[in-house]
Amino acid sequence: MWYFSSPFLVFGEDALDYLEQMKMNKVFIVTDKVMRQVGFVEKVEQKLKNLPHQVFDEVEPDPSLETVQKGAKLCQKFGPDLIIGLGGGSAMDTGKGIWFLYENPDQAIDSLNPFTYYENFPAKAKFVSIPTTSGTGADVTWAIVLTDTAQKRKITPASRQIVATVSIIDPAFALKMPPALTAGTGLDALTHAIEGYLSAWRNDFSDACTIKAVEFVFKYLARAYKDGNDKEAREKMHNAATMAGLAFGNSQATFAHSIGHSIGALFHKPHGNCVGMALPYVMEFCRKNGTGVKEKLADIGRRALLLTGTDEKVSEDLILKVRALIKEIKAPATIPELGISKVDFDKQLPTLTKYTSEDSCISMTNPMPNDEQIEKAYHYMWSGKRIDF
Amino acid sequence: MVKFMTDGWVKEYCKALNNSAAYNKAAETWEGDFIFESDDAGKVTRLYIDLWHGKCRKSFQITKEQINPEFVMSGPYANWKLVAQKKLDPIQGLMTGKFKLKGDMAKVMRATKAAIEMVNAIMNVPGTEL
Repeated sequence: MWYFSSPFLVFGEDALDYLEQMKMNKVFIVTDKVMRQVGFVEKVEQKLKNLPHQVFDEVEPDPSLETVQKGAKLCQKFGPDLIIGLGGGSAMDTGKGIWFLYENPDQAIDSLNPFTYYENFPAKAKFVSIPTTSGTGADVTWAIVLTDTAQKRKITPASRQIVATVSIIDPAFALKMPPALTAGTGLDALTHAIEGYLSAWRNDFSDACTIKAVEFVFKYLARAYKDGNDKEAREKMHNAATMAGLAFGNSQATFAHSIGHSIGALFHKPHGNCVGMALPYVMEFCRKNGTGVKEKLADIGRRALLLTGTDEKVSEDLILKVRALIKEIKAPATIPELGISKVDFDKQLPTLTKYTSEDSCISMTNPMPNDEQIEKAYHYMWSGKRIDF
Repeated sequence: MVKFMTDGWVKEYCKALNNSAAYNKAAETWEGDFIFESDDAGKVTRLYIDLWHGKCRKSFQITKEQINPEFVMSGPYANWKLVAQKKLDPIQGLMTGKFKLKGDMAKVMRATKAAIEMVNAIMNVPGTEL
């Protein structure tokens, strides 16, 4: 027995109009200050007509436990029957956390776990996720990535019960993304899709989402990067990100995310850039050492990109295509290109290795790397050398 | 050979944890004890495991002792058997309600890798007789 979790998905042009059809009385919007500046909060407010609503726009990049707790207190006081998470992964994850605490005030956010069934949740409010970037997948996943500022570590409270009630995948929100953000978030989506396919918990349903997501990323990411006004490319990338979110959300991410979480926690670099940088190295490591990985990568290559040849060739071609895409959209391909100095890298390498080895995603990797392999992989990601061990 | 879910088995399980480099490393900061509880048509077996900094310090089948461990993982014997046979991923078992876990969940969620290694070791006790 296994599950596939997904919100009710509303997608395509004018998807935001769906808000007008929802029954609600009071709305609490969780977002960040950039969303206000670019007019996205106002855009959502217009759909609420004159309903009472409150905006909590204090979500920071790499949101902390404290931000969730602060937002939950305000939400509790306001008493909404609809909570909206508007923005990138940080805003949507914070929204999910606030929703959980609003409904379960006697619980701690870091105790949220997939092994407990929370009675009568949700009872007070629905949660609507509205992604404004095309990559995080946080609109459809059931984990919340938060930063424990005291320990400088990322934690991932998770429960299938915190999957959004509705996710509004409106490509209009993606139009304003600058090229670098388009590149980073697009690679995040690609990493979700491919890691979801290699994960120990992959399944038929998550595999289906992977194939279409990979196809779309290769078809549309470079187009969206080069011309932000390419509406077709924007819409398809927005859909690809959600499909990739459904893929890894229902199978789990692996080694590249452990690397991304660790670099992100220590150096505060954009998540998409970190996991995208790590992706081809991880594919190489798993292809060389994992059971059946070559075949799985070849399967992705054949189905999503119509590559032909032996498993050996197609799996290698897929990795080369990932590397070429990273280059085409000028995304970081090495740790120095993430903007990390050699001094800082050397200083933090033991901690990076430790954090990576302790990250929960590492356990889903085929095969699970040991500390020596993790540290070696970091050296390769520093130099740009392809993994050969 | 040791019969699964008995005093002899839990002692072998303790050795398996101590011999697992992956568990030793993942749980190097873990302090906390567990009870594995199995229910076989009303016959309840409770196995105690004391875990400390990557090592299993002691383990035994509880008979009359009153022990209140930090965590209790419980489920039907048939499901425990599926884990030992490598037919059921114990974490997936927890997530689908085939097992229950009681205790400080915030603590577990900060030590997910140690928890995964710990339950995975159930599948790797040599000479388990089912």
